[in-house]
Amino acid sequence: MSQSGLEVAKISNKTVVAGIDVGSLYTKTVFLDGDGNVVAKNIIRSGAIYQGAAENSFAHALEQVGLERGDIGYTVGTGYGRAKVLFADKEITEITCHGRGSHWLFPEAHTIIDIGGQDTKVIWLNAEGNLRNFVMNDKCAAGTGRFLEVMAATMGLGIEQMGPLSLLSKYNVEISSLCTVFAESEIISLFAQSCALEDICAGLHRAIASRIAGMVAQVGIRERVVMSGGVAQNIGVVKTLEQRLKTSLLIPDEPQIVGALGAALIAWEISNGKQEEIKAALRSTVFDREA
Amino acid sequence: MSDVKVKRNELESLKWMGKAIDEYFAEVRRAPEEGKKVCWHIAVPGTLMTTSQGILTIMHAHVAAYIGARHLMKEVFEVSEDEGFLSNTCCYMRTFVGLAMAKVNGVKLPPQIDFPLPDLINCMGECQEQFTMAELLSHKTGAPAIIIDPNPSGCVTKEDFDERVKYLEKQLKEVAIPMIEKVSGHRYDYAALSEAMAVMKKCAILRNKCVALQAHRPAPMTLFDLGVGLAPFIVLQGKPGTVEFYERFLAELEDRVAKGIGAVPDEKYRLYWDNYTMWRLLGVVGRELINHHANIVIGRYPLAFYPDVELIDPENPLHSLAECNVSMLKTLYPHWASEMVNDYVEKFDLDGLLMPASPTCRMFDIGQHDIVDACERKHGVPGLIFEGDMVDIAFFNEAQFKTRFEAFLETIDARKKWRRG
Amino acid sequence: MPVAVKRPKIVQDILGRVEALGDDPYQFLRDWKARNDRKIIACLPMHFPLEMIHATGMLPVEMWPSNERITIAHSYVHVFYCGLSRSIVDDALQGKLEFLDGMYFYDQCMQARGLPFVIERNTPIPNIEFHHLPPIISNPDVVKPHLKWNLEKIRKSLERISGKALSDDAISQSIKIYNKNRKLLQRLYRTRKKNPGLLRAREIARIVQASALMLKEEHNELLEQLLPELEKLPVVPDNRVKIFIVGHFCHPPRFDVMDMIEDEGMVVVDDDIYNGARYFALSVNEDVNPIDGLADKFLDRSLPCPTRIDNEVNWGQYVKDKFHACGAQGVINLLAKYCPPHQERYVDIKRELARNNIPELLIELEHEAVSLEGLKTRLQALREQIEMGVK
Repeated sequence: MSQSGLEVAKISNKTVVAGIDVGSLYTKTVFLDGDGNVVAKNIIRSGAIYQGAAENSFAHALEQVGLERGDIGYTVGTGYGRAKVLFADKEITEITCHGRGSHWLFPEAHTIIDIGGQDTKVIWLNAEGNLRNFVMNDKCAAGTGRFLEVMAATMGLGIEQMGPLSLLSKYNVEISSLCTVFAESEIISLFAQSCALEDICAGLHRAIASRIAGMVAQVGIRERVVMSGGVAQNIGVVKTLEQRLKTSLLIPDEPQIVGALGAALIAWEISNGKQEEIKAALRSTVFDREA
Repeated sequence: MSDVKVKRNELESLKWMGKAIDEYFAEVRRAPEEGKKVCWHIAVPGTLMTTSQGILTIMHAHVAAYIGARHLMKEVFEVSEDEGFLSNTCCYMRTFVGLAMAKVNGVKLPPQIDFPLPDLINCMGECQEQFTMAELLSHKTGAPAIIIDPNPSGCVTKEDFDERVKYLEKQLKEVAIPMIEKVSGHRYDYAALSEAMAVMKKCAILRNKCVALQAHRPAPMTLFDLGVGLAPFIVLQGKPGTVEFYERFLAELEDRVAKGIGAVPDEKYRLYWDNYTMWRLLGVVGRELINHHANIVIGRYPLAFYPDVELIDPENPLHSLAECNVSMLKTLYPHWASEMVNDYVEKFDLDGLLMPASPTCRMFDIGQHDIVDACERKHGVPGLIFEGDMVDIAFFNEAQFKTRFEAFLETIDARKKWRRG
Repeated sequence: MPVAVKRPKIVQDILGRVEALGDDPYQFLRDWKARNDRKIIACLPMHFPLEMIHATGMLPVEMWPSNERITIAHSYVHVFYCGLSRSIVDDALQGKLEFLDGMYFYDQCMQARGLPFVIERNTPIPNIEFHHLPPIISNPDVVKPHLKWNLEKIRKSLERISGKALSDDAISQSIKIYNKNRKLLQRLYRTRKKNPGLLRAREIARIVQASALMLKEEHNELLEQLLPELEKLPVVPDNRVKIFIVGHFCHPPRFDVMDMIEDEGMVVVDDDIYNGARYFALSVNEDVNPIDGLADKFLDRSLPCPTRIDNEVNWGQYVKDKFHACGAQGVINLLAKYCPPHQERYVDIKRELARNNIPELLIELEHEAVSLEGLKTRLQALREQIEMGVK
């Protein structure tokens, strides 16, 4: 796997645009200046009130660059709580935004695997970074960030410990269920059989990797493959998935912020009239708040 | 993994079967170099249509059982996943089509299951999924498919039965035989078919005697022993050695009965198993059973292999094959199964019903709740419905099964006390 | 998003009627029975020869899923059965189908095989029957005599339930009425194609669904009132993303999801769903003996069905051709969860669409609530994918 960073630059061109990704667990904001450089970014807990989280994250970014609300030329809201970014000029789904953000970080990428707090997406991008196809889990939290949190808690581990620990595994333990409730009971019974924690962690990661591989198969795998979202920080899932997909994954330095970055990039494109056709196309829909 | 505290009594005669299958599969794998044709067969009935003609034949559920029991499904399921099959699709379809696609795509398979692609696909399916499997296999491998409708819906009257047999025989004559002739390159050899059928009939008569011995307490074998011994009714149909195998098998069981030896030491619970044998789960389920001195005495699926010996008529092979098929299909119907189970409770002195249901297969699990209810009402014998799968472990929860199974045995204990008391 | 065209009161009234009917078929059918004093026979959707039931004077209706959560049925059928089969059992057990005088099942899929056993054992509904309609149609010449034998068996059963002889003439008469209905529905679809903003996808599906629940003469009358009114209305330009819907081969779609598709800025221009274009795609030949005519329609290979095996069908090609013919920009696959026949064919459909760069979205629908928020995101992303002009 290889990584790519997101440096914060000083503002060189004052027309700043914003992307705000209100996820189920975290809210992320990225500002770009007129030259397309990242000038502010932050990640905060979403909490129970998405609207407040969006406001706070936005205000925090404004502070970082010393600008007023009115100075922001264009704002795109995305993520699970995108409808709660009331000051956004436009809502775009996190699927499109993740694609755009990943393409900016890794122009060579065609497949994006994003595992967030509540959902998992696999996205296929064309050479321009536009969406070609995607799948997204439709119901439960099986195999997502939230799932790993619950499993870590069941084992008395911190979420960040699971990845490194799993690399020490020596024995294969099969976890058959990715349902949060059933997997929990399976883990408890593995405890009863004195299975080692590292083997259980590795088993969980294999179960997740197999599920993701199934989703990747729905879209078809095309090199290269980016993994984003909080779960990309788990080295165990990354390694297992690399084995299962028989390819190395590209991991952003801050995998959680890719959606917000993509939203900011779309805001920038619209604001700079770079893609008039996008603007025109999106205007035809009921979701455009400009009209 | 839980420790095995009690050891099952293995049957000496069954060892021949494992060897025979391994040898047969090796022969199938050598087929291309030896210039022989290979048929991929789907469904229980009808394998002897091709095996008797020198076409090496593998059968979907048999291969899936082989793969499942040896835990070899990983690569195969990965391929079927890559093909885009949804995970709750028929596990046999994912296995058999996955196997074919692995070959087509050049994926490396474990050597034991690296079978040559088919020259012919023959389906006399019992269900919609089997028909579709044949269609998909044909599209994906380019091999021609015989897809025959054995009319797998409940037969009510004698009139129905006769019409269905007539229809099936017509299809065998007009659809299957010409295609087999085309692939084999020679005229259909009816004498060879009759011969294979005669051998199979001898096996079936002996097999039925083995099954009848299960009424003894303790039962001399488990249902899964019987399952291992079924190859003479599928890919080893008519093969030399199969009759001798059943003679040894029967003799060993008779010996056990005479000596009062059971398959399970100190047999305490006598259970019925609905649905297919779930080979992939047998390790776990088998351990639970044996540790509680419980035996699966009888079941539904293994009895679908030519049970009506009076219908096997080597003199009139196509008509007989059609009659056997239509008759065998009754095992799939809840009306019939409900009566059969109630009958078995008396005949085999059963204490409870294990009713596994697979989310990937609808073959046997329709009406399971009512079958249990009917049996409870008539005999006071309880049933346990639980989820599992023939090949895919993802549909089985070991911890949950253990808890429920133990509670189930406690229910049986309570019922026995109540009946005595 | 409401329709762009202002529609006259008579149109609104008819749409209101079919909406109410589809929403509560139970009340509609009870009332119909009380008014007409005629028997009602329910059948599984798709292939049962309804014309034969109609010819006896009884009302054939095709079974539908209820709007309510499944409750007691889960003690009788597994949770991993499709919504329709669980719902039929639930309705029957709750006594909601007490107005039926019979139920006909046939082997359309594995789940359908066992339903009569469960319903017969646990409800007082009379005349629960299972009939064989051959699932393999690859060799029509071999299949046809057997199919006709089974159709004759259905005739005998109907004579017994209705208490009177069923003549070929009566069946021919009914075939004419059914064919007329098919022609009128084809006209409705042509009108919609010219003017997609005219009716919502929900409304179109409700009109077709009504045909599956009403006496055909009454539905014909309804269409004859509706169509001239619709045809008079002006064509309005519609710049929404054009969608072709495929799936739900057996029972009505989830109407809330149909709405959601259009609320997300897309418009359905054509479909290949059962309560849609599939319902009236094939007519019965009126120039031959009626049993032959019905058998020929059943064996017609031009409209593939995932529950009928025909090894000459290429599902990917079939859906792709339909998509191109209607000028849509994307495909939405509506898959009833736990519908094996559809999901097995979906693999090829998906592959072929992807190979041709046709944007496609799979929506797996359960009888129970789907996650509407997640679905909304996926629908929006499909629209964004199409709008951003991906080549």
